[in-house]
Amino acid sequence: MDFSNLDILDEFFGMSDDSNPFMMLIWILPIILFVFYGQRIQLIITSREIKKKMAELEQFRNDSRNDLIDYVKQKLTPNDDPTKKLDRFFDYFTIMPVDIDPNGIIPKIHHLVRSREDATRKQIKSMFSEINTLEITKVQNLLEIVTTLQLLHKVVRHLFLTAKKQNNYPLILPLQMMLPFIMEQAEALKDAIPAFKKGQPIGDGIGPLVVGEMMLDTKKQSAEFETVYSESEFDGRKLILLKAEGPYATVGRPGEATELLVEKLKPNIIIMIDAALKLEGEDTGDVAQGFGAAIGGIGTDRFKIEAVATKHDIPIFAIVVRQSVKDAITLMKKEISDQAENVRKQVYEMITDNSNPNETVLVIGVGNTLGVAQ
Amino acid sequence: MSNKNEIVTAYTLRQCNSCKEQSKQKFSDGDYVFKEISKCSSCDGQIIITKIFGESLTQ
Repeated sequence: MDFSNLDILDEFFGMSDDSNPFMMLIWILPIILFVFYGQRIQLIITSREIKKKMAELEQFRNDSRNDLIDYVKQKLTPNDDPTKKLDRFFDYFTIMPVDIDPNGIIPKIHHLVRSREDATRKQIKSMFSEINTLEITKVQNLLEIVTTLQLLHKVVRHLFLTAKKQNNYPLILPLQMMLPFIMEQAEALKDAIPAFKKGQPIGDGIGPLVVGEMMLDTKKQSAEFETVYSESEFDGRKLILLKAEGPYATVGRPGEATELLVEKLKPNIIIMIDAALKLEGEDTGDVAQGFGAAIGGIGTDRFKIEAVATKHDIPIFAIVVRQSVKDAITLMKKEISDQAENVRKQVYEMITDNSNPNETVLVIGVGNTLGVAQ
Repeated sequence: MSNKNEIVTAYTLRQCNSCKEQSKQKFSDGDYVFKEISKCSSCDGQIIITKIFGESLTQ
C-alpha cells in the first residue's frame, strides 16, 4: 500500500483548505463559549473591579467610624463608652412620606427632617454631661458622614450580591456605571472629616463668609434656631442680613427665617449667595449670577423661600460660587475664599441695580457656616 | 478621583481692621473666621481672622 500521498498533519492542521475540521473547531468553540457563557465571563471580570471598589468603600466607612469614635472619646468627655450608641446611630434610617399625596408632601418631609435633626441632637446631648453647641453640631455632621458612607457601602453591596446571586450580568451594569460617581462622593465624604473635626470652614461656607463680613459691627439677633440676622444700611437702602449662626457646623433654618423676616420687614428684593456644583470643565471659584432661590438640601427650605417670595411678589436674585462636591464639603480652597471680596462687590452692585433708595433688601448667605462667625 | 500625593495645609489670614496689615499663619485649633485675636502692635486696631483656607502641595 502506498501511504506517500497521505499527509495526516496537512489533513488536520493544514491552512490551505477551508473545510479543515480541526481549524473549524478552534474557531467555533470560542464562539459557542461566548454565546452561552459570555455574560458570565463578563460578570466575573466586572465583579473583580466592583469587589475592589467595595473594599475601598468599606475601608472609608470603617475609618470614618473609628475617627468619630476616637474624636468623641479623646476630645470630648462622654458619660460612658459611646461605641455602642454611636454604632446604633449609624444604622438610623428615614422613611420618606407617601409621594402620591395630592395635598403636597413638603410639610411632611419638613416635619420628618426636623424631627430627625432634633432627635439626633437630643441623643448626642444625652451622651455627655457637658457639651457646647459647637461640639454638638460637629458630632452631628460627623455622624451624618459616617451614616452616609455606611449606606453607600450597604447599597453597593446589595446590588452586587443580588447580581451575583442571580448570575445576572445586566443587573450589574447600572452599578458598574454608577460606581465612579458613588466613589467620588464617598472620597469627598471621607476627606471632609478632618475639617469637621478641626472646625475649619468648608467650601459650602462661602455664602456665610460673604454675609458674615457684612454683618460685622451690627447687632445680631436670633431669627430661628441656629440662624441669625442683623440690619444694616447701604446706599440709602435698608439691608437685612441673614445667615446660619457661626462658627457652628450648621446650615441653620433659612426657610423659616426667611418666612419670618419677609412677613415682619417686607423686603423688596431677596439676594441669595450659595455654593453651586460646577460642571466638568468649569473652574473652582467661578462666580455666576442668576435668578431663583439658590439653596440646596432636600428642597423644603427652597420651597418655603419660593412660596413666601411668590406670595409677596418679591424677585429673588442669586450669586453662586462654583465648586465640586469635594470642594464643597472639605476645607475651603484658597480659590474659593479669594472670591469672597469679588462676591461682596457683586452683591452691592446687584443691590444698586435692582432696588431703589429707601427700599429694603434681604441678603441671605446660604450654606454650612462651620468656622465662620459673624 | 483625588490625587493621592496632594497635601493640603490649612492657613489662617489675620488682618488689622484699622491699618489693614496682614499676616498668614498655619491654622491652629480654635481659630475661626472673624475671631478677634488681639490689638495691633503698630496702630492699636483690632486684629481679626479674615480667612481660613487650604493650600495644596502636589508631590
